[in-house]
Amino acid sequence: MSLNELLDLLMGTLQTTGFIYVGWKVVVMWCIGLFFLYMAIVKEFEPNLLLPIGFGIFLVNFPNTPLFGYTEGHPQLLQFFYKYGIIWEVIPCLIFLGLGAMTDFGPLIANPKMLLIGAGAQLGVFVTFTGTILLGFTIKEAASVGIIGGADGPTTIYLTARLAPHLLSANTLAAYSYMAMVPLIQPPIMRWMTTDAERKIQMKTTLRPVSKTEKILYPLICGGIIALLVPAVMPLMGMFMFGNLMKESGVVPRLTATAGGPMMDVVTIFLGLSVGASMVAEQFLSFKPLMVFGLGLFDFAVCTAGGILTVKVMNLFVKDKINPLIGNSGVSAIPMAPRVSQVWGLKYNKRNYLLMHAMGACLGGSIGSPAAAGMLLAMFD
Amino acid sequence: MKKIKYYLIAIVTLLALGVLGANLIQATSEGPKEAITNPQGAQTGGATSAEPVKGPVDSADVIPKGPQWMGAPIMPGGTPLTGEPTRQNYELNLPYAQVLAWYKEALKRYPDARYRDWKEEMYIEDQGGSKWHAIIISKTGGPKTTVTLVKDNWTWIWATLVIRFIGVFVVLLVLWMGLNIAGFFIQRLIKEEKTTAKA
Repeated sequence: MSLNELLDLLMGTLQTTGFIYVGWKVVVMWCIGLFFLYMAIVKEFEPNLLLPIGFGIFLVNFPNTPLFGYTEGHPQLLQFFYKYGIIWEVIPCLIFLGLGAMTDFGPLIANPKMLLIGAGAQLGVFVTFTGTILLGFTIKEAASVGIIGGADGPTTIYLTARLAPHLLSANTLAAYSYMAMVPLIQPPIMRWMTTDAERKIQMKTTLRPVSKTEKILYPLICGGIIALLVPAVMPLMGMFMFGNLMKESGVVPRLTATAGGPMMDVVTIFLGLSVGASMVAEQFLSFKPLMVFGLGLFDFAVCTAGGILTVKVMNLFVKDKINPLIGNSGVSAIPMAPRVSQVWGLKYNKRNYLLMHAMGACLGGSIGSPAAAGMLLAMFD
Repeated sequence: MKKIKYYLIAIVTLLALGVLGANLIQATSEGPKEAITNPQGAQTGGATSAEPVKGPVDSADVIPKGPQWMGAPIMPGGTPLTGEPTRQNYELNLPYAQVLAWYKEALKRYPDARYRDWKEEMYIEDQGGSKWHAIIISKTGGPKTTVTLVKDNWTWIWATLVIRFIGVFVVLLVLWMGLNIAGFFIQRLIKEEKTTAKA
């Protein structure tokens, strides 16, 4: 056997392994995957999502692994989850179903003007849209990046899968990362945009009691109005309202418990793994996906500012003044954003309990963000 | 514990040597080098000329060769009417249906063209990264058809964004009103029920 034949034999064997395909990009992706695992396990930052995402990134970036490609036209394991779960937009809608089954809209029904804070907090979505186009993104890409600021993971996935699927992993990761970082990102903006006197505004400590009938009617009214005004987003909102109707009706406790518990857990596992797996080195390590992280941060900041500004404008018209520290909760990061409002409210006024009001604003954001997505979908899809 | 450390170091070293050796062998061998397959590329690759190209693309790269303006195709045989830096008009001695068919064929591989069929014109809007914003094909010219090509502009982007931002407020305002009205009636009903129960 000549040396060339021996080398060919060795080469043939090696080509079945992943060794020869290991390049710097793959190594960078391993590090990113491990970083997310570190954040999830050691720092406990959104572990339910960052752990499967991190492992998905780590796993799929080993060359030659039959996980995220196609074998004779059939999707491989993680490609299967990704294709039928995310590209077909099943997972975001199921997450909304589970969220609906876990959400108590009482604070919003008792004080519906908080909806406006949720609308104002969508400012970043539209401001970032412009900035993103200036940086050379297409209109559809800009719309998908803009929605990150709403801090609504499933909506981000839903819109991005429809408008710019190639940015799905970057957008999803940015949305969930910034949601986890709410306590770090929002307080400086809240401090910067409010005066000492505003931070001390005392709000009512209790809200009016909400009857069961109102809670049952809410998903029907809200679902009906959204269906008439923004039909494009009904797959998400329909599921959200259905989940909530199951909860509030009280007649299907087993279904409610399943939707908000085991189903949510199963869907979260598939979501995390598929999103992580979609972060293939060749695609992720390029200009646009990396820019998404910078733009997402800016977006999040402007959305927070938008919520605070809306409170300030509302205070010009309402009799009972609203503490602008709940403006940050207009982004739909439940429960992190309302918790930040509560902590900062107590810092400036020991008797000021803002949590329930902030929850109202946050629930407004959870409607406002899909509404904004629906607007963009109606335009660009 | 120390032993485990040594084992780990040994495994990492072996892996590194393996990668290095494999790359050396590959460099020596004259065999064809296979690139890492891009899983999504497998989906997008192999687009035939009849299929729209997936992902962001400039229309100039996918339309058939021929006259263009800012990457928008110009149907041959037209007479220019006006030519401004932001807008081009030309007239064709062909009916609307024929012109539309030509444009649909020319743009069939461009994924970001959206057709808005209005009463007096077909408005082909670019939602991608091309330099043109719209191709407007008039429906009212009878045997003649006027085609207008419009350059991409910020007015349109700003206008649509402002309208949509206001739209979000409108949606939530309507919901607010709906909740207020429902709340008002339900609370009244509950009060009435309580009064009846007391009586």
